[in-house]
Formats: sequence, structure tokens, C-alpha cells
Amino acid sequence: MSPLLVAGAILFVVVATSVISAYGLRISRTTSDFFVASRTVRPIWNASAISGEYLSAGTFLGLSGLVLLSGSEAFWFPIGYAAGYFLVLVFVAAPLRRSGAYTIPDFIQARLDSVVARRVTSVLVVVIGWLYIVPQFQGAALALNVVADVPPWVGAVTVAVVVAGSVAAGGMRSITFVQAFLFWLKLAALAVPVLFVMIAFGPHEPSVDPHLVFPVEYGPGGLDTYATASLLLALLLGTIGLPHVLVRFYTSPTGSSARWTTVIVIALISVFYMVSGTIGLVARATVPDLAQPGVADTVALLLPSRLFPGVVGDLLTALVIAGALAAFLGTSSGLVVSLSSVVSQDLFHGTVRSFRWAAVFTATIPLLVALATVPQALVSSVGNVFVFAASALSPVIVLGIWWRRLTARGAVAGMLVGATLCAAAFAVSAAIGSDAGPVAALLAQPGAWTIPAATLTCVVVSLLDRRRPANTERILTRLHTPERSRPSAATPAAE
Amino acid sequence: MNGSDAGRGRPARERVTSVDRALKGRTEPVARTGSTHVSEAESVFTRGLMRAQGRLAVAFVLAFVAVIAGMTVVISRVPALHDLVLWGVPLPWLIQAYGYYPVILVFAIAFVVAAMRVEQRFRALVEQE
Repeated sequence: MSPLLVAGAILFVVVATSVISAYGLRISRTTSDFFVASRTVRPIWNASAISGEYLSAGTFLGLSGLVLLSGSEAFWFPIGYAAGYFLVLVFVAAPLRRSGAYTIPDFIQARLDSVVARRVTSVLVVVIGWLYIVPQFQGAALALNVVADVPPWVGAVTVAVVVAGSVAAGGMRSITFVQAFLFWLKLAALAVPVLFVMIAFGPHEPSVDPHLVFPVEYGPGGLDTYATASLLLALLLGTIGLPHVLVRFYTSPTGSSARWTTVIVIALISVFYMVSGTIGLVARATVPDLAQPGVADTVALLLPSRLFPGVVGDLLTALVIAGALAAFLGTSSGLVVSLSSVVSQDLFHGTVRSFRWAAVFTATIPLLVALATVPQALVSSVGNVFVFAASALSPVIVLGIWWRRLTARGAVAGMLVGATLCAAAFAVSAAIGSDAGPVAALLAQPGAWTIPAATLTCVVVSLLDRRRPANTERILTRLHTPERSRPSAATPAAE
Repeated sequence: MNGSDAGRGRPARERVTSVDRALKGRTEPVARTGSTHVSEAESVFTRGLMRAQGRLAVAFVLAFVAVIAGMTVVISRVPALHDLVLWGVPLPWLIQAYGYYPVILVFAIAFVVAAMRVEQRFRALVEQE
């Protein structure tokens, strides 16, 4: 692979991102432009932006890698991520939009009338965001290391600088357009190679034995019921607790448009996951020699030149590199926007200046962590963040919207119990390894018991607590009352 | 691009004022949630609306989980399916790679339509008062 082509692909993404950012900068002038894009974003753009932000290195590189490495169990991750948006839609999309909150801490504070609950939420949001950014930077290090043979830190630092720079310069409004662009770039970067494979190998029956390439025990037949159920529960609920999901709904004009936006998101990410999964299936049939830990995550980058030697393969590889970069940039810049918003609001006064410094700060810490730690398999380290978010934040958010009797103490207790249990489970699991029998399985996939434990703690402590938030009725009414039909339209039937 | 987009359907720019309040030198963070307009008739019916939406949400989630679990049992516990091979890939693999997303999308669309119906009924009640 010629280094010139790699450099060209990277340059293309960086320049395109900066140009769109600069265009956004021209039109983002006020503080509210910076934070929430002034709510002028259309559903299709908003949905593209949400998808662009959601699809990370975990599914761009990690999904095909894990399909190659460990078979069809890898598909549970994208299924859970997509179904997670269904739960967002059902439980939180419209009410959270109507709450008018910018960030999860804003929502918790408004709902529970408690600064302490807000602070705890802010800390958890920042921790979740950082845990999520680390695999993105590690993916960047891995990808550039493989295709361009540069030292790993170059990729991580490049992505961190571009992210912090573009967020600090443009804020949310320009990020919306950047994210939307990055989504379509990611999709094209995997779809074009898949189309080439279809055209090249389409009508012929492959020469390999399907039962050798896709054996029963690595397929759905080898299902581990507890691990799968626990993982899916966590992935489904985890999306609700992700820091960068809520702030996007704020840019929808109404609760119902937030719902439709979510439906478009589900459609867009589903198409992407199908394409990304196809790369994994093709890889199993054509490049089984890459099925080694550490190497498998780069299969999407290596596959095109293996199947199409020469110029075609090189050009396709360049496209995949551009898409991979878009994946790292998209997710991490979305997270940095949300985290900067939280940090600048909690530590400073929510000004544009503090937002800029917060962007630099929130990108630097995970960069240091990424450089200091050894990368795990990308798709499962992103999956673990979902488990943590589902244990720590999702129960409180869902109960806050649907249960009148939730109190600040109940919420704080639930968040602390969920976060502590989940973190402890992962720590112990890493220490004892995966061969210690049923206990190890419980610790490796803790969602099935940490999420109920956190929920139960919220409920019990809230019921014991006599100090109910005074404005519960008013807030809940606001969350669930549909927007007025337009002032001119007198009859509701006209909608 | 801006010029061609400026047609109808684009929501009007909305200025979010509560951010500016936070600018005026407060030390405690203020929850940025904007202003509230809730009429009395609305709050009377909102309890009912909330319960109806909650029931709808739970029903959809239960149905969804049942369908997903059913699909999973079929592809993992029926070995005969493994002998059906399409484009070189056994059927259970194909279903797991592609089959779940359409189900999720159908459930999502059905939920939005159902939730909008509940809200329309609520609006009709409020406006009758």
C-alpha cells in the first residue's frame, strides 16, 4: 500500500472535516449555536449526525474482526446497538426532548431538584464518555499502524488533535454537519468494497465448503444463553445512558420529530451494520489466516487489497482508511462535544470560552489513557462501556421519566450502586480471567444482575426517603404533554 | 447550500435563553431546561396520558423481547436450518447477520404511530375542555 494513498485518504477526511467545520463556524455565532445548533437541524440531517456519532471504531473495524475471530456471536453487538435505539425511542426520546435539558446532568437536576444528584451524574457521564473515547483512539493507533506502518501513537494523537480542534472551533452546529458527512462517508467506505466483492464473486458458488467456513459451533447454534441475554440487556439499555445521545435530541424541534428522527437513525445504522457484517462473512470465506487476536480488527482494512491486488485494491483500501478515520473522528468528536458541555457547565459558567477549554481537556485525558494501555478487541471494549452506562445511568433516567416517586437520594444511591458493582465486576473479571466457572461468567457479563440491582436500589431508597422533589408534577407534565398543534391549526384532526 | 435549503419545512431558529442566564455569573449550575407552558386542562389529563404511554411502551418492549427471543431460539436450536445454504452461507448465520434489523425497524415505526395516536386522543380531550 503506497504511503501516498494513505496520506491522501487521511488528508481528504481532515480537510473535508475542517471545511465543513469552518462553514459551520460562519453560521454559529451565539452561545446557543455552540451548544445545541439552535434547533434548526432537519430530521434527516439530525439522524445522519446521530448515526455518524454512534457508529464507532467498534462496529467499523471491530465487528468484521470479531465475526472473523469468533463467529456469529459478534452479531449480537450491532443487534444490541440497533435495538438500543428502539428502547431510546420507546422510553426516552420524546420526553427527554420535551424536558428541554441539554445534557443528562441537566435533566437529573431539573427532575430531582438536587445539585448533589447532578454532580454525581456529571462525574458518571464524564467517566462513560472517556471510557468510550479510549477505544476510538486505540482503533486509530491500530489502523494507521497497519496501513501506513507508523508508530501507534501517531494515529491516536492525530485523531485527538483534529477532534479537540474542530469541536473547540465550531461547537455543536458545525459538528452536526460534520457528523452527517462522516456517517455517509463511513457507509460508503464499507459499502463500495462490498459491492466490488458482490460483482466479482456474485453469481458463482464459492469454492469453499460452507460448513467449514461457517461451522455450527461458531454460529447461532453455539449460543451461550446467560452471556447473550446479559449482554443484550445491557446493550439495549446502555444506549439510553450514553452521554452523546440525549444532546442530539435537543436539536429536534419537537418531541414527535425526535421520535421520527430515532426511527431514521435505526434505519441508517441497520444498513451500516448489515454492510459491516457482510465484510466479516466475506472475510471468513476468503482470508481465514487473519483470524488472530490483534490482527482480526484490521481485516476491513486488509481485505480489499487481498481480494483485488493492484490499483483497485489500493484505491478501495484508501477509501476504507478514510471511513475508519471518519469512525474515530465521528464518535470521539460527538462525545467531546457532550463532555465539554457538561464540564464547562459544571466547572465554569457555561461560556463559549470555557466550552473550548473543556474540549481540549476532555480529549486529552482519554488520549493519555489510550497511549498508556494495551488495546482489547474493539467491539467488546465498546460493549463494556454500554454495560457500565446501562448499570449506572439508564435506570435513573428511565425511572425519572416514568416513576413519580423517584427522589434525589434514591437516584444517587442507584447510580452509585450500579456504577460500583459494574466496575468491580469488570475489575475482578480481568483479574481472575475467564476460566473460573460460572462465577467468571457472571462477572464477565454483569449486566443481568447489576442493572436490576441499581434499579432496585433506586426504588427502595426512594420509597424510604420522605424528601420528595417539590416540582415532580410540573416536570412530569411537561415531559409527557405533546406539543401544541400549530397555533393556526384549530382542529387536532388536521394533523 | 443555505439558500436552497431555506424553503418551507425548516423549523424557525429558536434562541435558547437559559444559557444566557447562566452567563450572568452564577456559581451553581442551573439546569438548562428553558421555560414551561402547561395549561390546567393539560395537567388534569396528563396522568392518564402518562399511564397510557407507559402501558404502550411496556407492551411494545415485551412483544419485542418475545419476538427476538423466538427468533433466537429458532436459529440456535433447530439444527436442520443449518443445512439450508444460501450464497454459500448457512441460513442461521444469514438470519443473525441480517434478519434482526428489519424486525427492530418495524417495531419502531409501529410504536411511533401508536404513540402519536395516544397523543392525538389526549389533544382532542384537552381541546374539548
